[in-house]
Amino acid sequence: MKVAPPPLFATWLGYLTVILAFAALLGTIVALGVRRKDEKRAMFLERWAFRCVIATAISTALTTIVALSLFTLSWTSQNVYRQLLLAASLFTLALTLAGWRERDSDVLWKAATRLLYLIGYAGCLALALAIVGMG
Amino acid sequence: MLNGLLVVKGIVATITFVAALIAFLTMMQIRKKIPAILPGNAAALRRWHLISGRISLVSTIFLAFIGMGLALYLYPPSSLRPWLHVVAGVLTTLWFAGKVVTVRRKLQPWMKQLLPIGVILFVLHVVIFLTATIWAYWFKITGVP
Repeated sequence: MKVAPPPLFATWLGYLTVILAFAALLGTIVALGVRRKDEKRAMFLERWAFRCVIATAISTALTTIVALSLFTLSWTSQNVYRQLLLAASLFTLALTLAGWRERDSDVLWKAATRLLYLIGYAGCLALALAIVGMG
Repeated sequence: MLNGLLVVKGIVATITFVAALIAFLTMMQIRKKIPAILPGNAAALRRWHLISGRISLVSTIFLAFIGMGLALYLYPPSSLRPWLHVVAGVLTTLWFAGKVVTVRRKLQPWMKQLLPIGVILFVLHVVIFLTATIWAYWFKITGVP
């Protein structure tokens, strides 16, 4: 009887990364939506989205460490190299977004940078989903 | 699959090295340590230094992540070249982070030593580039040990 290989990135840590990336994207979108009605709440949400993207980077690093340890122990041939590439991209993108937001706290509120910033958050979520989706 | 990862790593590493070279040359020209070989005034050169430095920083983070994954778990170094590559990679990442923190927070007395700090950073980039897999393949092809 064949036993399915254990998932490397689709663990609770991987799902946590997805949730954090989703929370960051949701936070920015909702912040944009409520800005006109309630500026204080918008600022609060935007600040939490920034924290979520930092947490996404940390969570990605932790997930990768655990996944690669599992791979070394059980040696299941899966998409590990592709997943490592995607994890490195997610980590870099999340850190870049965090660094950008740290340098410029108005990045979400400026029309010139808003779209690129939002695309970055959406990219984080897409990468996190792709990593977990590969198992 | 490993080959695909190494190809991506090689392409990004080349971009990193070119960006580091541009950052090095622009700052050397601004500080008049080399003859004026690049076009543009000091402000334009400083802008290019910043842009190429940021590209180099982001791609170094990306490469460090992949490199640590490969070196620690998937493809541990087995001979002198990969060991040198890994050690130079770790040193470069730490040195780069230190330089960024120094510049951002204007840490004294390190702000006065930015030129040697930058030169050492570029030398580390050169070491990583020269100990990369591409040269190992090249030496095998050409018969040089």
